[in-house]
Amino acid sequence: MATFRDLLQRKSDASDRSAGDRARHRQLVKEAIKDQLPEILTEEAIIGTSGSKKIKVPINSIKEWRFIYGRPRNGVGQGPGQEPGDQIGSTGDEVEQGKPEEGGNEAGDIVLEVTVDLEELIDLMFEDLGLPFLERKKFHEIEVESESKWEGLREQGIEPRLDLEASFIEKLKRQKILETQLEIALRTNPEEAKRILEELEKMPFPFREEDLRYHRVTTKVKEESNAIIFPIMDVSGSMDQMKRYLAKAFLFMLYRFIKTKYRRVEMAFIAHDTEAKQVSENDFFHLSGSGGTFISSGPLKALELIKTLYPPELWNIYAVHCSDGENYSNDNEPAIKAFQELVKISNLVGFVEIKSDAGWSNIGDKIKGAIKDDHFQLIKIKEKNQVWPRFRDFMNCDKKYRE
Amino acid sequence: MEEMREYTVQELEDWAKRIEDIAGSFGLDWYPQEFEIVDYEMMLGILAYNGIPSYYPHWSFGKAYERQATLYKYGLTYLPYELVINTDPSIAVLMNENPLPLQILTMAHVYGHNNFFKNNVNFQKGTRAELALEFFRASAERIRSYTADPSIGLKKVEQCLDAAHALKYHSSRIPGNRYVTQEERTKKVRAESPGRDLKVFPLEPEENFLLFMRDHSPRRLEDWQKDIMTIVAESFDYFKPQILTKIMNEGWASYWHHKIIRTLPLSPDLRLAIADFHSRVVRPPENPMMINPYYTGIEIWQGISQKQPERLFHAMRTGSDTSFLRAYLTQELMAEMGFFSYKTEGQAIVVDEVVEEDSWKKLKQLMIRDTGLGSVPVIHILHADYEDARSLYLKHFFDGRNLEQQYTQKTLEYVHYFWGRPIYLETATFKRKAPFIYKFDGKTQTKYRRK
Repeated sequence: MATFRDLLQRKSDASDRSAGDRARHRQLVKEAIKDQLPEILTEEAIIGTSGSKKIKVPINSIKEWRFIYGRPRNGVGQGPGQEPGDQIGSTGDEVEQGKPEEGGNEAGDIVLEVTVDLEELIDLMFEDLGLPFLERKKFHEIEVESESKWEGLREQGIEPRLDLEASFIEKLKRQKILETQLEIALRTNPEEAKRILEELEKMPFPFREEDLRYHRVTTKVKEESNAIIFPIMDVSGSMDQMKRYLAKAFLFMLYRFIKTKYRRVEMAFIAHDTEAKQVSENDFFHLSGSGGTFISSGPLKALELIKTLYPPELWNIYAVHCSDGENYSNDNEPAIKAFQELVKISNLVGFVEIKSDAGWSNIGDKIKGAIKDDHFQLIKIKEKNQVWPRFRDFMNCDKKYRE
Repeated sequence: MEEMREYTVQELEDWAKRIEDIAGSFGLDWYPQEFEIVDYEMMLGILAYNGIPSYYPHWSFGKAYERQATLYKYGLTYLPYELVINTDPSIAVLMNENPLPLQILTMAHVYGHNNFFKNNVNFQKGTRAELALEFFRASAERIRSYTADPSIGLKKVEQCLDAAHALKYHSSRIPGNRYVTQEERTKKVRAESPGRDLKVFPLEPEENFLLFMRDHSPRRLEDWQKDIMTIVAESFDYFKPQILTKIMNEGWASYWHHKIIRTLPLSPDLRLAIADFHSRVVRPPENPMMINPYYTGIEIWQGISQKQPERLFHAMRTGSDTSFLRAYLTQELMAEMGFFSYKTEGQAIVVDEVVEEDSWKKLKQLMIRDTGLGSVPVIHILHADYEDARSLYLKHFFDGRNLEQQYTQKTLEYVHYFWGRPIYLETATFKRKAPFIYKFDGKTQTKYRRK
């Protein structure tokens, strides 16, 4: 005679078992995304785009590796009315084969992609670069524009005054607190752990009323509200993925930071080897040139664009040159001259060298030696954790705004 | 249909009694059956661990949970109505949310499974139902203790489990085949073929990766690592019979739930509702690239029951999916069930051949190839002292299907984790058929033509 047990009476015993494994899996997913950030972010055009853009992230390191068969796929299927030649599937998607021991459910293959908001990836990038938590708030987008200057924050307000930036920070803070609480709860209170885990598992992480922050309104108007940023890239050298990632991170932060200070910000990407031309963001990070370098061509192109499109009377000018430092020696003088001219009419100009090995070139030093202005900076970046401090110091040299 | 939503545990017990009486009258026997009532959340938790109450912790179970929960959330799957495990006593799970007709169907189905677990040779030879729960409980306890041990800790245990999980599929495909140590083999060969060269190591191509490496690795493996290898290998041994008899087993349970329901005294409303659920379970799959084991199995068993009823129980006792399909899947049944083969053309997957006079045998062969452990490449250890340097030489028995490169290389890293010396894997490709070698030496992955 069969026996029956009603486990709903003692629910908490059974349910805590999977909570630990789910939390661990979630942690690994986050780490996987972080590991792939350089790859993901260098592939996507992020600098000019809205933070609500969604990005598909393939999750590689939580694949369960084992020996399996690959392409081409063939096998036996089942379904009435199929004729030779009918298409029943495609090889496109990133799927993982179901394991032999998994149940006979219909969906054998698993799609291994997570869809994430760009803002969440940006936040992971900042975590990756070691930005102090409170500094990150400067970089989150303000979607809403208004004539009034905002001063301070309140917890109540109307929609148009919603400060997404501050609200996002509140949300992040709450998320961090929840994550800490989860760790504790997993050890002491399985019921609670389950509840917290469910809250965290709603991805993208939702806003709550209490997160929202609104601006207090006063009547000041933003003056001088246009900025143009010239990212200039020496594409003659080889930029590996890590260098591209660091360059992109630096430029991204610059863009977002400048955006908090000006009503309207534009970017004009310039790529050069021995010649310079204006390009798209994607090309900026992916082009490679002929091998020879005339550094002067970069700033000269910027000057040309300033003359024709971005007069300094109307535009605040920012420029950042990224290179690995090599230059034809007969171009050194022209390069110094070009930068001198650019510096005269800009708020801030940077010469950034990203190098993984020891040898810094001397052209950077030469140019800095010749241009004494404070708002021209030589920036040397060797690894991830230098990006933020170098950036911060760089922004402090802005002729217009000091931190 | 209102009265069907409310029912008491007592009612379920009454229905179980009626089902047991009828099952008994059909000649079925079973391990004592226990039913546990849960809600869908608990069901997700139980499913993630294949129904075993105390499995050891690992993130892959968290992933399985997420996946199942997502599929369920988007309505892409019904949670399996039935989850019953091969233990003595057997434990089955009923979901609280399910209406009475579904519970009755589920319980009838469960007894079919129980009978199969008790009588099929794969289970009898390959598992000890009365010891299973204790084995898993004790294994989980030991693994937790390694995680809690400050000299080991979570990361190290996880790394070992990740590697062991990858390799567990490579062992004997015949349940009940005991792993034979090299000493035993040497004794046997010495006795039976005195002239043979005994210096070959392993003496014969070895199927069992985990246990062989546990016993012979040149890398000094810690006791806890060896224990984990043993636990993972033995845990997989436990599930192997289920993998090898998926179609037979689901078909058997469906066949008997169908007969039991027909015999049960049911009100017209109940009968109608149950028939509706039944038809949803046994029908061609939503995704035509898969086959439905419930549908395929029940059709074959019904075929046997019509044509050779005296062989019914014998077939259940002695077969596994490959022999079952070989012996009892007829051209007629294949046509009826709409089987077809598919192939890749560029980016598309298209139907290749359907069931016809000149194609059905090939089709059947393909189906048998993919059944059971068919999706696991056959790879043996040929040399454990390759190059006289304790390198490991593996051979993939190429049957026309290519190994997937990235997965292969990542898995070789796991082999290296246990073995510590260079790993070679010989295989071939569909296009060229000439053998080539993957090599991983601990740092670099290479690939080259075999000379």
